[in-house]
Amino acid sequence: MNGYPKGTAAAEGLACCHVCFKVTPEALHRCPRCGASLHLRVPESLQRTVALIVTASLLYIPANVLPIMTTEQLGRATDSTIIGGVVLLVHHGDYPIAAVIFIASVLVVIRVAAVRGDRVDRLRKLTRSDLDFLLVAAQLEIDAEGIAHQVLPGPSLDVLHRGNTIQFGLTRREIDGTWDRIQELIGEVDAGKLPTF
Amino acid sequence: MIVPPSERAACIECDLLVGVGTLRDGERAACPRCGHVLTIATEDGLTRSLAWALAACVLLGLANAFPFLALKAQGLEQVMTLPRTAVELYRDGQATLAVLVLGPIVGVPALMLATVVVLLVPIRRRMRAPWLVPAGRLLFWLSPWSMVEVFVIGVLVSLVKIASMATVVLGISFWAYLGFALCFTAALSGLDRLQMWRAIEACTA
Repeated sequence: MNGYPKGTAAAEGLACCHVCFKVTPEALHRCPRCGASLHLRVPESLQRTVALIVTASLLYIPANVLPIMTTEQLGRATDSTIIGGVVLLVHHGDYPIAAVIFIASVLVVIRVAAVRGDRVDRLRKLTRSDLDFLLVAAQLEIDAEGIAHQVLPGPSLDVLHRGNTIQFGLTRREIDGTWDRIQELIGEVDAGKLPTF
Repeated sequence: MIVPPSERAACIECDLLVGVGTLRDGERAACPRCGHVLTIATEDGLTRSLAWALAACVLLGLANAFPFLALKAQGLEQVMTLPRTAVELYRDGQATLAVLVLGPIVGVPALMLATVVVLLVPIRRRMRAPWLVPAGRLLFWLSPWSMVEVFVIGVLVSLVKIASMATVVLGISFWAYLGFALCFTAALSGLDRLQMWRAIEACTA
């Protein structure tokens, strides 16, 4: 007996191959049928899951707040966000498609069961000016030959043109949106609606 | 008799050790603790999958050979084929994007179909083929990277957006891809993993 629950394959030292489902002793290390490596349990499964969920939750914020697509027509650029797309479809009267997108891209993901405590603390430490600095995308410097070089971005917003330096960033509204979402998340944690671990 | 009574299986969800017993055609074995379906025994499941896969091959060929859609705006018409979408992206200097577009919607599914065919033909003929085990592993390794259904939904969604800017004409290729998506899904959902690996084992042993 090795501490695994009674009745399970693991309790008898047997591993179910993750590739071909054959049940063989874990001591073989490799599945005799398909050659995949054998484990009683998925290695580090909880750590991996937590790491991926945290990453996904963080990326989910800019994914919804920032535009997912920019359409340019006759020199006029239009930014679209995921929610904006749903609203557009509703205006067109395409309720089923709007519902599919909303459920697949927003509802399903937003039901995060819990967030890690120290990540929330990190978000808490962020100030508005931290975001202003972080979200600047790129800065280019044009030298005497007219060639653009990338340099480290400075702390300002929007497209900035100063001397021979061009900086691409986000609009003030987009950064405000990201900031609001972070505050919302922290608020939910403080109100006890979102458990931490 | 498809799964002999001597073979024990473990539930992939809750790891309960189960004796599957003898299954007749159409019967399924489920985990007594969590209800997860362990296997569904069908006499002709692999043959059906092969048939769906072959149909999917033909439709995928059609989908790549004909126009996918045409855009008409301000008297100009532009015809798009599936391979050209990637070529255009590549010409724009977006090589990564080109691979990301064509890989999961054409490349990976095509490779998976080829794998299904080279697996199922020898299995049906009880032939001993050296590539059965690596092909079986490749198939299940590839399957998360196939995004056929995602692409179909994506096309439908972007059509709504483009339709407001230009007239969109759906080509033969669009309908072929829709048919391919259905056949592809049928071929893969019909492949019972436990049954298929037992069949591979029976051929290589």
